[in-house]
Amino acid sequence: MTTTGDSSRNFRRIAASVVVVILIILVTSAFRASASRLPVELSAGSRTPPWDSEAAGGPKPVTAAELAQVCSHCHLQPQPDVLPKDRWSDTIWKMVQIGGRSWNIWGNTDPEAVLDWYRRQAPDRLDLPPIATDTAKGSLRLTRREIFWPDAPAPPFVASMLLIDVLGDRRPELVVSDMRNGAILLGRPGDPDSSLEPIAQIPHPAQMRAVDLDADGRMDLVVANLGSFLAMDHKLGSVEWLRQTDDGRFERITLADGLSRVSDIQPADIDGDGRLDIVVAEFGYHSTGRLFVLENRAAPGEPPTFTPRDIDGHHGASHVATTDLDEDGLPDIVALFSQELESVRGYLNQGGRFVEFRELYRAPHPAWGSSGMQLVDVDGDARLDILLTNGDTYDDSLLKPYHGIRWLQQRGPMDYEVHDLTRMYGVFHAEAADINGNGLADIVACSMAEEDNVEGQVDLDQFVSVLWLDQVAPGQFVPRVIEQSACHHPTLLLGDYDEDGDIDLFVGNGRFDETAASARASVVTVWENRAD
Amino acid sequence: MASAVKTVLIPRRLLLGVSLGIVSLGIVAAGVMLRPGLVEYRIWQARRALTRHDARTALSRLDLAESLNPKSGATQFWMARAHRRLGQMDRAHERLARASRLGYSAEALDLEAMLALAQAGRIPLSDPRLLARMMNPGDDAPELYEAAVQGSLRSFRLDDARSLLDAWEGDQADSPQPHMYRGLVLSHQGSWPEAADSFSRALALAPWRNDVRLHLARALRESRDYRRAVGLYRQYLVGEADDPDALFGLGMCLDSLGKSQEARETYVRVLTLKPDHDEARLAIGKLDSTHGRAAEAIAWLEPAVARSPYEQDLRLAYAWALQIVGRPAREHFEFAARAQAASATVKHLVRRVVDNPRDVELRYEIGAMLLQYGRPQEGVVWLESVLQIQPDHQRARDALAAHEAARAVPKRDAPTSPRTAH
Repeated sequence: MTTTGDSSRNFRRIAASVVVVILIILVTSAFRASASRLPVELSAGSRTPPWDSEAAGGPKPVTAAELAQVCSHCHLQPQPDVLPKDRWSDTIWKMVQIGGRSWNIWGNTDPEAVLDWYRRQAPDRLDLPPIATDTAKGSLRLTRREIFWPDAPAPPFVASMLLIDVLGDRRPELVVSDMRNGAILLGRPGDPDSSLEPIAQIPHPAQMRAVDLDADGRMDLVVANLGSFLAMDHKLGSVEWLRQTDDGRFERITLADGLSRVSDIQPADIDGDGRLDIVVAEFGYHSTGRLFVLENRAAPGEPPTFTPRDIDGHHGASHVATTDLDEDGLPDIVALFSQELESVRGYLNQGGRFVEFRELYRAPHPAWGSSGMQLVDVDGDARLDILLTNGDTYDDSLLKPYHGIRWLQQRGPMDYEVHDLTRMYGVFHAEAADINGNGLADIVACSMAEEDNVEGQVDLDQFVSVLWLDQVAPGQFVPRVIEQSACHHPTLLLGDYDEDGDIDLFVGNGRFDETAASARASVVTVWENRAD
Repeated sequence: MASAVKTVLIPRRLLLGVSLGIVSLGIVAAGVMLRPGLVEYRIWQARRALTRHDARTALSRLDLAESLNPKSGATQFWMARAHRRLGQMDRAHERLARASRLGYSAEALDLEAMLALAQAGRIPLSDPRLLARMMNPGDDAPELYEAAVQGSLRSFRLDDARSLLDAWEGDQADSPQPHMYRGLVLSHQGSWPEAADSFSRALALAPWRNDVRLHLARALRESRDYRRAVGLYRQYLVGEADDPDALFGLGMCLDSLGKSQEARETYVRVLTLKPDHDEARLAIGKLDSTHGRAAEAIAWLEPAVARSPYEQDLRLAYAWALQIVGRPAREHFEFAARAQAASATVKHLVRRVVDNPRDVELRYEIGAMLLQYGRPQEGVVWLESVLQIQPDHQRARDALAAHEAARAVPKRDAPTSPRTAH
């Protein structure tokens, strides 16, 4: 009995111990569980989150001198009001990235300090005042019709147009480069129910020039192939020659490839050897691009063969033309640069060599958005002026109050007077010709902006998409609206297609947003001039 | 004396033996009696962890519960919930099936199965069963809201997600969850600064939530607020030192802030933890190309390109590295350019879906384009969303079937190289 009693006591002790151990485990676990909640209760009352502590000190403020030094490594220093507050972050960090994070450029300047400087002074938004247009239609009578490519695989994107007798039948043909479908199209706008049909395939034809490159008596086409629809650093660009054969077909011959984005070409006998060379604007993107000449080294009677010679290593050359800037009888080169330069440069030809350039124009800041250039005599003084547009929205998706049309009036060799003609949002291209027959060159411009790209900024229905600057007296222009609410015109062309003595308008169509149009969309809108 | 001693010695041994036996029996009995209690306790711990949105801890507690009693239907049920929370749908279904076999409440299992479908975006918000539960959610309101919002996000029904979040915020003002999910919706739309604001609100309500901290760090990184993002990544990594995605995010910020060497070391660490982290390979490849080490860049990039030939940035970086060393690069440049154009089109289409959420043709176009030029798994989700709205959409069915068939026969459309040095 004694033994049983002891066992019972021992059992109770052991059982009690087990229970105590279990209780200890339970309490410990419960404490552990609740301990993990402690920060909640402790910090729930705090309104200063600990992760924000670095914002308290902030970066060391930048001085104006430091800022000017940093910016001027690559471009003019922009003022804070060129972009709204919320866009400066993307812009500054993009600068850091584009510069390959070259900290020798930034020195001791903290990008965040630069960002802070801009954000503090930038406006919340960019105001877009209405364009002051004259509601009177003027003396112009225009009728509109559309030209289609019936079998277009996808909605067109017209990058350039020519109105010229390519086929040698003494009638002007309309040649169109469609960047989206990778096609060169040809049509006869004078024919009833005219349409466009492909004559050649080139992946992304940006610009074309008509020229008899091999001097065989037939008009050829030279084409700048961008190599991709959208901006990218790559090596898919090329210069293509569409050589016209005996039977009126076009044979594609690649003159130069492995290039970055080629945006423009201009055939000209640069070195005076009697053979056509080609000036090439290789726009590139961030890390690629240059301006160079393809020198024609072919022996007389031989097919052209080309060797590249660099002129300027800067990227961003979008348009190129040749003219005798210094009146020495040699073709000089005029190039429009966008990207960070935003300038027009003239390269002086010294016997086929270009060792010197003059800055003919420089926009005030790198957000300018240069989009087009034409060399044309606007004031009828027999000197070529320069017509410029700036309305590119595809770098930062913003319409800007400084978008517009500028006339660089030539006063003498390489001496230009700048005239701000009008504001025009998203303006992409302008050309000059006397369209109302008053003896003075008018200017017609088109715009390119899409809802998605300017979301919330404006109602594009209220914006002018084709504008006529009527030169009513020498140097006096009255803006008149030809079309509004259709801001999807990358380019336009002025020419007398029906040979009735007046200038007609060809407006190219295209949307970056492929989904906003059908494949059956109009390729070119013709505004036929019915002037009396 | 001798016999007396002998008489005493025998009972003591016996007593000791009996005592030990009783104690052992007692312990076993106590264990048997206490085991259900311990299982319940582990389940209680797991549920607490789930309430704190810590599904991993919940699973570890439930593993212990399962080892104590493999035949507990409740354990299997909560394991299913934890797996669902982690997005591990196959495992969730497996646990639900086990719970069912073990006789767990059919009503609870039905609800969990429906939550799984809702979370996967496989049933729309208009589903009568889901609607019925949403009208009378009881204690399950947070689960219902969360699953429905996740499903709406997954199938890009952002209007639905926003409506749910408005209601959820109204019902549970102190919960960090609706703020976190609003941040995710805004992230989907690319509104990163606004997303960062939402994540900040969620983190203020639940500062212990490292997952929210990681979301906030990403949103700040995308908003180019690198300095604050670095601080948050570092805080996050104190608790999750081996999280490759967080390390990668930290590397990206350091890279952007110009700390290339530290960034590169961080990327290399990511790859030691997760060798198939292709974004880290891309980042190293870009850094090496930029610093004149194109051959090394190729070695880093090659496995990633082989694994993810549809990644535009990878193909472009690879093309540049090849170009620099004089190897053929054209096909990669061309793919990158085509994919870039397709990506822009998808972006436009997605914006149109926001305004026309039930337009199956838009959804089909996005899905088909992503299958060709984007991440195939995203394309599949878009095509599945077509079938949710219009189950008989033949082209979506065909595209999914073709994709499945192609997956069965691996395509060799990416370069292969004997050199996979890294």
